[in-house]
Amino acid sequence: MLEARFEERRGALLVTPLAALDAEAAPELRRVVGERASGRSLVVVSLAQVREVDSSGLAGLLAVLKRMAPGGELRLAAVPPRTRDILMATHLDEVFPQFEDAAAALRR
Amino acid sequence: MIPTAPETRERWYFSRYEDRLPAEPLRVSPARDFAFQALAVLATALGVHYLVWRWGWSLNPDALAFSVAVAVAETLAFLGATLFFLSVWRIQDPVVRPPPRTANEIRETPLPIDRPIRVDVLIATFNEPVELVRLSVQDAKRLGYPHPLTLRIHVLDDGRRPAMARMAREEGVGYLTRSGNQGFKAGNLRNGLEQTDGDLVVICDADTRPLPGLLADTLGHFRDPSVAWVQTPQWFYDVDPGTPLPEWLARAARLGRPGRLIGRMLEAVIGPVAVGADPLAADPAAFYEIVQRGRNWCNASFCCGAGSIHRREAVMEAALKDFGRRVTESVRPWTAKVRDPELREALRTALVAQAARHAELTPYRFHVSEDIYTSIALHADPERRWRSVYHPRALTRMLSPQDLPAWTVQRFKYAAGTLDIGWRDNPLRLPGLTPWQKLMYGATIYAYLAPLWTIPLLFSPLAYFFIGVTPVRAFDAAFFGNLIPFLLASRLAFAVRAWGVPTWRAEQFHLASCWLNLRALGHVLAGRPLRFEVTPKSGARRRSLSLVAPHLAFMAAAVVGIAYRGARLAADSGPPHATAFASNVFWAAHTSLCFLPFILAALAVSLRREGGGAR
Repeated sequence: MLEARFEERRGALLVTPLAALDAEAAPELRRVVGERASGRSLVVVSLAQVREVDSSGLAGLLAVLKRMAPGGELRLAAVPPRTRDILMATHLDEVFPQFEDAAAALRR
Repeated sequence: MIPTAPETRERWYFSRYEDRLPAEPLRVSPARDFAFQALAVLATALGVHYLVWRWGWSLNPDALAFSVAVAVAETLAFLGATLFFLSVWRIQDPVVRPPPRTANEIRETPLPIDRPIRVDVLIATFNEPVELVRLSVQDAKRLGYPHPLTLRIHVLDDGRRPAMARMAREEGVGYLTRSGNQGFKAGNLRNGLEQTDGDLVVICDADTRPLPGLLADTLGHFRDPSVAWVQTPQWFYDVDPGTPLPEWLARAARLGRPGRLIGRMLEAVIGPVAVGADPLAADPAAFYEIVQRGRNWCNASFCCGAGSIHRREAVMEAALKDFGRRVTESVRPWTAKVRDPELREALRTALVAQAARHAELTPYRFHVSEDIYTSIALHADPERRWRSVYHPRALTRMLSPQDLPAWTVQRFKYAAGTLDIGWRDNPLRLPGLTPWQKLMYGATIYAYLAPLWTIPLLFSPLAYFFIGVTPVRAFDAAFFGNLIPFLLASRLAFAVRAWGVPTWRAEQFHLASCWLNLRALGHVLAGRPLRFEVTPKSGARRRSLSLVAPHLAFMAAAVVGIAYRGARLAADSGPPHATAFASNVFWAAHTSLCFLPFILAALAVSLRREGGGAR
């Protein structure tokens, strides 16, 4: 089950998950967020409310990125330290640009 | 209730084995380990002694090139035997721990609210009969566990068949498909992983039928959060058990009670003998009992697909690392040329995101040997040091290839897949693996190079019969005195290691499949793509003479050659010639006898095709 808030901000999609982005949330992350992100050029996922992102959650974010418009960016905001570690370990920190908070990530 | 169960018992060729149970794994014996190690050291010392003599004193100056070629083959064979002995040096089973109660007992970082463990059983199918898959689904539904467990079963149907979807609905299990069949089985499993959320994943082929104790017996291993997967032996419950020797002598050989008595006396000396057992050398007991079990102690047992249980987090994380590495490496050539650091960063960010859109995330490598490839990736992860466990008790049952063409498809896939990994992604070069892990993976790959030495060795008698050349200066007392102690010690060491495990049929087929393995080697070296042919799971035994053409040609050539050389020798005889002739006849006859079961398997037309079978 994925619990998340979706907001439109200046043509970008801001997604704020309200619980862990883990294996349990991943299938819906792919489906629901993937659907909304489809064809967009900027999606921001704010992790301010998220305790954990596991590898299935990250794989879900990759699936979302793949559905965005060519050249599109999936930005992460307010990344918790443990998630930063796994992003580093998997080199995915280069795939998902990281920002202090949602506001910074939404600035083009 | 689904009314298919009673029908099912009648309709399959394997129905009569329905109540069979797997044998218990052999008892681990430190004494036997020690006896084996002593014999292996002795055999290796005698082998070195023989080879020193062989290279220093026995090369035949009259046929130097031929002599050297055979000596090279012997040296490569010796290396293979030494590697094999090292790779089965000792057998150690994992400590069995009680089944975990909740998810937090198997997690590295606990959940704030604990819950039962979630297990997904993924049954991958492409073209297997719906009713065959139903058997697997029904058995998966009977999986037991002593604590609450969230068990979900999913049929992953790459064939996208409405009848399969209907069966899944009838059985009340999940049914997952995808639009294409990219990556074949590995891609199918990935799709399953993406749509499920279990902490643990059980990998099943279409014909893999779990026994009720699979989870209760193995989940304890996952209490160690570094355990990435547990592999159980693959047990083919449909392998023909053969006829006990006394019965065979009494009935098939029509010797009556005296025959039965002789049979019993023979069995009292050499142990139980089953005539005609496992005609296709399908029984993988030797591989699991000796090879896999010998790898537990150094964390090098590898995954063989069906019958394994995986920690989702391990498989996914390894896949992400591999993905991230490939993506960042792919953009490096472009960014490296940019001097300005700020510009370089901007370019890199843009390129990496683009590359990520097109790269594939592959929890199971898109490769013919996805299981061993994935094992290497997990073992080689330097930050994680994932552990693998080989659990020695068979907890699933599955079907064996039913004819020689099916057997050939399976073995070609194993050989070419393993060689391809060695060729492209040699584990010896991976810094994350320990020396012992490298040795174990190296031994597996090296074993598939066997045709490089078996073919020259098996065919050298033909050179003698037709051309009259011998690989040694003389077949004299020095030759036999050096060679025979080495061969005896090797055979003894092997016999002790394989005590209680039937290996004879597998050895015959190993020799007979040298031609197949040579083709696999040529295939990989030529860089030809590997096909993902599904190993046929069921079907009539088909005749296939072409598969045994090289073997028949060898035997015909040997007969003609023996007659020819015999006639020549009769004209001008002498004792040295006689020993050379006798040695080569013996060797050619030995080879022919080893080929014979393979040839018989090819000729077996609808042999024992009772009950119609499944098509």
